[in-house]
Amino acid sequence: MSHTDLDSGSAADPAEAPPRTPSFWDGRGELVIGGLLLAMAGTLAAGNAGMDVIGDGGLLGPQGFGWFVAALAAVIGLLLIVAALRRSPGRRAALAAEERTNWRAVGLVLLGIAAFSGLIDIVGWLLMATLMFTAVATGLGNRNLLRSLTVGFVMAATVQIVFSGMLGLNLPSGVLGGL
Amino acid sequence: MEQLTHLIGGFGAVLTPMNLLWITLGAFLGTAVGVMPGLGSAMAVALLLPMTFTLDPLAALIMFSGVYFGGLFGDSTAGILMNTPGNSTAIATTFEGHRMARSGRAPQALATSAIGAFTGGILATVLVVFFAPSMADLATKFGPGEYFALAVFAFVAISAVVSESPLKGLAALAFGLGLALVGTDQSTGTARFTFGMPALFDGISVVVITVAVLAVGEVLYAAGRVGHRGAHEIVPSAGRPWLSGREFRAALPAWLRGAGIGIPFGIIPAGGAEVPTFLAYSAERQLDKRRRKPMFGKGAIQGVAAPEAAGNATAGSAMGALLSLGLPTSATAAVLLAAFQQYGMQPGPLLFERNGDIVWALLAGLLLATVVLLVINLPFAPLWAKLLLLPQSYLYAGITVFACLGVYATGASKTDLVLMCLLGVLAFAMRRTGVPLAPVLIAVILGPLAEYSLRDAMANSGNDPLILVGSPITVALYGLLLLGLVWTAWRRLRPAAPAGEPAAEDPADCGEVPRARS
Repeated sequence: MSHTDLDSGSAADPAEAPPRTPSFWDGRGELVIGGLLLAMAGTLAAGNAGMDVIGDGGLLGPQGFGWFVAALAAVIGLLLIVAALRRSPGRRAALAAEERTNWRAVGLVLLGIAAFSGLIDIVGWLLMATLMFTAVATGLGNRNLLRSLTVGFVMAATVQIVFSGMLGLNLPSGVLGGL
Repeated sequence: MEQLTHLIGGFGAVLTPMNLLWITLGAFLGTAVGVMPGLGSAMAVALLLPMTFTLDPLAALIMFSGVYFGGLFGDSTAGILMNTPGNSTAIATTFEGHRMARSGRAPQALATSAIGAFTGGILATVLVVFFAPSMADLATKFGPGEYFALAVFAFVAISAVVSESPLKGLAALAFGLGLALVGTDQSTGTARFTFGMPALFDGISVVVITVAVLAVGEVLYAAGRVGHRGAHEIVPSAGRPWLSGREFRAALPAWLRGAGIGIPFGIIPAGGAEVPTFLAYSAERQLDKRRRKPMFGKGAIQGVAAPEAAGNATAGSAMGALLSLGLPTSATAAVLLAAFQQYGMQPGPLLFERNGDIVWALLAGLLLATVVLLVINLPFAPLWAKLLLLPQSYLYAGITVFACLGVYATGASKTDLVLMCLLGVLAFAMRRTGVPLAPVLIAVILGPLAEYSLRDAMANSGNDPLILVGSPITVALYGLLLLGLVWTAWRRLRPAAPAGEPAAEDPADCGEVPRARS
């Protein structure tokens, strides 16, 4: 293995310099949570309204608790959104610094996990686990691609041997199975 | 002393070479995840859960308990040596512990914390051995009304009373309750919120939820902080790794006081050991102010001893509440409850009757695990600190691989993997906004209990809502809850806290906030 890599720790600098015009979203992380709660409330309400109720479930039935959770989620979601919108600019700047996120790293890691989830049945455990390991390691700032691939492959292979061989857990071999 | 006979029987079942191996393995794993910032015992048990379903239930459960206790042994190591607590439960220990380390007393701080964790764990477990059966007896009288009160108590306590912001705690609770609703209704057989997808008829697997929330979310959060992390240097720990007689005499009362503060908190769903560790810390601080030569701020041994003892005492009595009432009082306890269910056992009053052999063996295993943990932590804490040199990138990549393996192993289902991705993103958004994760797990585990006991109570009483406050137990639970709410409101409305509120004032004089899990 060549040691031409530059570094592993100090990579992935913060994308932008701190002084910049605050965007609408800065220091308002609750907007996302509030939005998700409202979406969940809507989903629960829609599910309740269209539910095919079997038999007699009593006073509350299968839907009663669902209505309660939907109402709770809607109220909390709205309160969170209001709190986020009414926050003072100074407090928002402080929160924005705390919430600063390396989106490229998050994206890469998520891509690795999503690719694994989508392709495991077709491509197989060995390849997808190695790729996912490499994607996460790279996302977390490790720039030595070759070493990440090697470590990931060794780990994936060990897991396959231990779990398929000894515990009888079936991991798909995918494209490698045909070889 | 019927309990002692049972316990000796338990030791008989546990003392096999194989079971001792599982205990030791759990102790090692627990210490390791405790030492490493960002990893916790809840995540470790969640990752192990799908991989152990071929194991014998006792072996898996004693290993998990070793992990639970071990996490609380290891968490102070990084806090003392690096000022970065391995977990939020070690923040209180870190204040004085790191000062001890900086003044050249690192080995003593580590020893104090290990013995403290041991004392707290042993005392609490012994109490559980003696009182859990009577608590279970009491709980056999629980009807649906009592169980509903218990679940409501847990929900409100963990989301509104304990968490930093009640609104955020309730948001997490709502997510958990919503997730628990998916699947076939147990009493009518109606398909709920499955939207025609057969994969959802059985509900969303607890394994998928715990792995996604605790592991995938944590990995995404760690990725988001790449480049924003502060570097910390490790204070070398060298010198005599034992306590002098004087140090021991100073620490002993603090260990006992800490354990005394921690034990009651294990029964209250307060989200784990954070609150009692802080209470123990501030109690010692108040006592210290009255001494002739106050040591707090300069590395007081009591400031390490008490919170550590409180932390493990909480874990011990939390096991008692879990076994006898079926009430999980922390995130790890919630995952442990899922483990019991995986083996077809329901923690609660009937567990002692139906699976008595396993319960007593588990309690014996807990006592053994605490001893094993003391042995591997007391002399070797500086070695454990070497784990902090492990590259974070490989560590998190490995966690991701095991998370996906675990979810895939539970059913080889693509739906589960997609759900894991979505819930991982949700957990990431929550972590980023400071929304606590423990209420999600408590709600997922206790949500069905709350719903069905409410419906049963209504059906049994002809829809009379007064049945819910119809017994002394329910009235007491709601009264306690009300007190908690009043206390929370009073604490929040009070202007800036003077003494006794270390969370608010200590970071200021430290110059640097020790942040857990960053």
